[in-house]
Amino acid sequence: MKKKYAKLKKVLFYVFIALFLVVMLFPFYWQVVTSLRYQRDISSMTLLPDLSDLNYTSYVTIFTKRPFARYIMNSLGISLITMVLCITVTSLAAYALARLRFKGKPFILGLSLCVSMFPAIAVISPMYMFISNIGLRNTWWGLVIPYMTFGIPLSLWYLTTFFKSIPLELEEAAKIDGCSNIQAFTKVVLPLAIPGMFTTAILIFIQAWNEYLFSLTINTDDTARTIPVGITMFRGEYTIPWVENAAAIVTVTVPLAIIVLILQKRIISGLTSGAVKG
Amino acid sequence: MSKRFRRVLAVMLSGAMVFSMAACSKSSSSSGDAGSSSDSKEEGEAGDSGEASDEVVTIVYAGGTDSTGATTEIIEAFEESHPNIKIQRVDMPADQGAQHDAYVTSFAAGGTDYDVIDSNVTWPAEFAEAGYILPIDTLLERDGFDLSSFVPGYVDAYTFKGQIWGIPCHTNAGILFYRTDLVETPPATWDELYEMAEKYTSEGKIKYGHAMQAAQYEGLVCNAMEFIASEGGKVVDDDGNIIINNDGVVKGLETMSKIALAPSSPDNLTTLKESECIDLFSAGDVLFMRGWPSAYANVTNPETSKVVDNVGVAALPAGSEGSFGCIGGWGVMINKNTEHVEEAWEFVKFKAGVEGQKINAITGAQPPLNQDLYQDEEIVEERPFFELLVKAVDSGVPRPVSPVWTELSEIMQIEISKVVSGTEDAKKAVETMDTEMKAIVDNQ
Amino acid sequence: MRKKRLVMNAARREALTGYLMTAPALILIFAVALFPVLRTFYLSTFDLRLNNASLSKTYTTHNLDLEYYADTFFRLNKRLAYVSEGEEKEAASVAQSLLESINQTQEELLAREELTDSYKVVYDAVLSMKSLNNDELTVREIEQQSAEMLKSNIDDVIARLEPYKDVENVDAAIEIARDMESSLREPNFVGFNNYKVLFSNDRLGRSLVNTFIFVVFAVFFELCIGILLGLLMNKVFVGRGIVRASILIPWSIPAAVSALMWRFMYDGEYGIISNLFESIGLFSSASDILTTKSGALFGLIFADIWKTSPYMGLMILAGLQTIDAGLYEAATIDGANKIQQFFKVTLPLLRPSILVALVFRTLDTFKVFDLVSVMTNGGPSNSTETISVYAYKTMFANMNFGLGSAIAVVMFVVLAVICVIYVKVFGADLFKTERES
Repeated sequence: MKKKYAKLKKVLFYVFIALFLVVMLFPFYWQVVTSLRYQRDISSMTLLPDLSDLNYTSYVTIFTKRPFARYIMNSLGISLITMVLCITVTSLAAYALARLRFKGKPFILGLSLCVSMFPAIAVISPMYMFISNIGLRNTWWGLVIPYMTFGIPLSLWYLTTFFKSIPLELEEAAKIDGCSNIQAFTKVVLPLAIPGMFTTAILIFIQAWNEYLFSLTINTDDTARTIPVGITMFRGEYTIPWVENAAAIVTVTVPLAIIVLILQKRIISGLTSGAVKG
Repeated sequence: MSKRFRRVLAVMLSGAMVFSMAACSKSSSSSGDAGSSSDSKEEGEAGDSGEASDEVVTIVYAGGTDSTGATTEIIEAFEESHPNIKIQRVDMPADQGAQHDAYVTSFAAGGTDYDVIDSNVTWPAEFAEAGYILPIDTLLERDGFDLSSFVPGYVDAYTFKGQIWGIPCHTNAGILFYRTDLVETPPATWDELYEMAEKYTSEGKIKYGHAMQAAQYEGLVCNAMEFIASEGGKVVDDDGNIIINNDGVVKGLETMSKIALAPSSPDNLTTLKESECIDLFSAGDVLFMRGWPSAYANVTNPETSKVVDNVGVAALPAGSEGSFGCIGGWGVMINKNTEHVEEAWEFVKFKAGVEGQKINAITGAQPPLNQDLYQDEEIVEERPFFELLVKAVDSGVPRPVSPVWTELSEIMQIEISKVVSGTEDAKKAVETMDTEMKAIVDNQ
Repeated sequence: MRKKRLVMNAARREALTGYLMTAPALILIFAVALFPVLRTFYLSTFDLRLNNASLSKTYTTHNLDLEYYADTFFRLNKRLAYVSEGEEKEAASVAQSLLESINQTQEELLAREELTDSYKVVYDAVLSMKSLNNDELTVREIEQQSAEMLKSNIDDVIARLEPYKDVENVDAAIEIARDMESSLREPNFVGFNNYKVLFSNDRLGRSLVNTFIFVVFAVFFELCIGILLGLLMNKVFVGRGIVRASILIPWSIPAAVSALMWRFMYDGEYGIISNLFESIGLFSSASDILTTKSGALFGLIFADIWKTSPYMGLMILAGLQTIDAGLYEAATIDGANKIQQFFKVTLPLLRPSILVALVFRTLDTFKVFDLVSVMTNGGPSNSTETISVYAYKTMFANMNFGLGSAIAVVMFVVLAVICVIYVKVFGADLFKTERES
């Protein structure tokens, strides 16, 4: 009886998951469908495109009309550098904030948050001047620097809470064994913090990947543009090529999903329960 | 006094007039020393298209993406005839707002990123007042660039504070698209349009009557200006004073809201922008559409449209004072801080001149502004529908030229949006606009 | 005694390490981000409008833009010269005397030696149509007295030309004279005037209300769905890798792009989602979703929830990872069922993660811009304008940077208050080190 019940529960669970995914992914699915139609048919509301006459051309034209491959490379590069630098810089700071005793911690956390409290549009003009003056416009670094300032507060706060949640006992034990603060950090805490750092890394990565306004104004050269701006380049002044737009969305989303699929194992750890108990 | 300086001075004083005594003594004494100090290097460099050195100058030209290939062709043609000037093209998003912001950010930082930019018809006054762009009167005068054969009204849009700040490149005014398979003669008045729309939809011949741009954005104001002008209403007088509170404006907006709220109009009219209108028309769901000439290419393209062979264009319907199409479109302006004025000017002349407009007409399907070109055989052959357009865009109504236009427009967008969605009557909206717009002009 | 010193040394060393470790992050924030923030505060106290030549920069003293002055002076001179040689004798004599008077004024205005020298350079550049693009050279401080003198001279020119408006070139001369006044750059520090303007107008209030509605609904549902997603992703089941990766898809589509995608799906005529909503009875007509205020707000919130729930989910998931599985075992032994476990064990331990997620989601949602500007641009009839859109329109469309900066500062203050409340409610322990207690 109980076994049967468990089985039913399992089936229900999968049904729930399936439903959930359908709801979550339907808008994206609709882009896939739209991307395979002809522009003249975009008013159609059938759930499948005309399978006998699929239109793949937009997947080609997005690469031929504009340097879309270049946009993808730029986005990848900029987001990756932003991610790596942010995590490196803030994991040190966050560890100190979580574990070490010194004055001014609320100040540091608060100050970093203040930066996130201004709308991007208020910041964009001085940021533009700054990047311009140091000659980094139309380079990856021209966007990495502003993106880091958005990423740092988030990852600082996030990693701080994460480090705090790592059991203190492990570290104390390491210190008793003669590790310094830094060693305790690199040898003991860091490995345990991997899931949190990966999660934060994904957050920062996608945040940089999604940014539009700074990318639009700072990197205006086609060789340095990123995807969000790149996609808007397909639009005409008065027309929106929905099919190309959808094809571009699908093209950039699928590889990203695959990257996440590969990385996701890291965001779950067989964390600490065993270690602490032992 | 340097040679170059004297030449420029002579040009500036062209015409029969001679500089007055006082001014002359002043200017020659002040420039005498300065001139000799600066005539060393810079003299040979820039400009003097005839006697220029071999040095190649690169001009950065920014503008919205152009998928027709006309821009590339113009640049190639220009570089061929001007071997000393290279054009570096920077593609911007075609969306007006995004482009505007990118330019403002760059110019506000004193940037010299772009030497020549594409300019929407609503920008010159604003950019001129901000000191971002160069007035080109002297250059026009010096080189005898002829603007007299341009369709009237367009150059005015680039005239501000008595100076000309750029040159428009193509004709662009609101026109009426209609379905030739259903309608034989397009409606001559707004009332006729209303009647026809009601008739055809109630007979079930088509889903909806008229599609226009009625979302809350600049396009709404363009549409409203057409209704207002057709009833003889005026928003701003020649001296820049707000005179919106008059019967013509109220009547125009009443006609507009009558059509917007008609049972035959699409339910989602207040969300329509150009692209949604084109989609509706291309799907064969509307009888009439107010659009820009460039939409013709979309609705007659079998890739994007289902009504390819049934498209007619005509002048917009008339009100009691006639038929008017709102002037839109793009021109070219020169960055005030450019280091290569002469070269930039050469390119502007080419792009807005006969050759540029011709390429733009044949490859880009943009109707030329130079009326002589409508007789050009090649163009007539390639683009037969231009002839229809010429008639349709005959009477253009420009939007007021004002450095605070976007602010004024914003108020109009909000209030007219209320009118076309039926939440406020025209009279009340006009009164609100009157007060708020006056406040902005007074504050300037 | 010695022991105490040792402890103190250790404490000092620990603090030093702390500062060293936080330094890189702090330096970056100070170097890059703090300047824009402080500048915004500063600008909000000026009447700064980019589309007005005399207000396009901040000035605290009286200045003269030599370049602008030289240009208008040259043109005015030219026009007056035309008039003075024209047929109309009366106008000609007036123009002649005005010519003398403006040159007289110029001499007095530029009497200071270094000004005279600079003016020569500038004037030469203007005549040869070269831009100097050098504020240090062209914008110079002058005495208030001189500024007033120039102004009264200009007024005089306009007043005396006025009667001859119909004579050729006079109208143009008047216009140029008016323009000449813009070469004066007077102090445009206005203190709190921008704020006064803001608060005297109900647009700020309305956009704040819209923003609050948006934030409250969006963040609340995102949190709920996020917790659900987090729990789901935390479970061990076949295919969870795929589920995790696909749940993140909505979030990986840039807002500027996904907003357009939603506009397409909300289309009152051909939109799949709007038609779906109509058929399940959520809206009486598919077109309501973007043409009515409540519909449009709903549409915006729905799209935002769809996009950012995964983000919440990911943050919650990472929080769940830190919870010791042993605690659940203990709770099970104590006889707590799954639901009790969730409220007694999971939720309290998730508190820090929830705090951070809430803080950052609230900040981001409050600043929502791409979504609104692409989908409704504040319409219909301005009923969905959020504060960021308001700030944007003020700054970039209307080019009023003073007022726009003031809006940004108001946002800053509101957000700061919200953050303080969050921290107070959800736990100040973030700021403490466990060992301190």
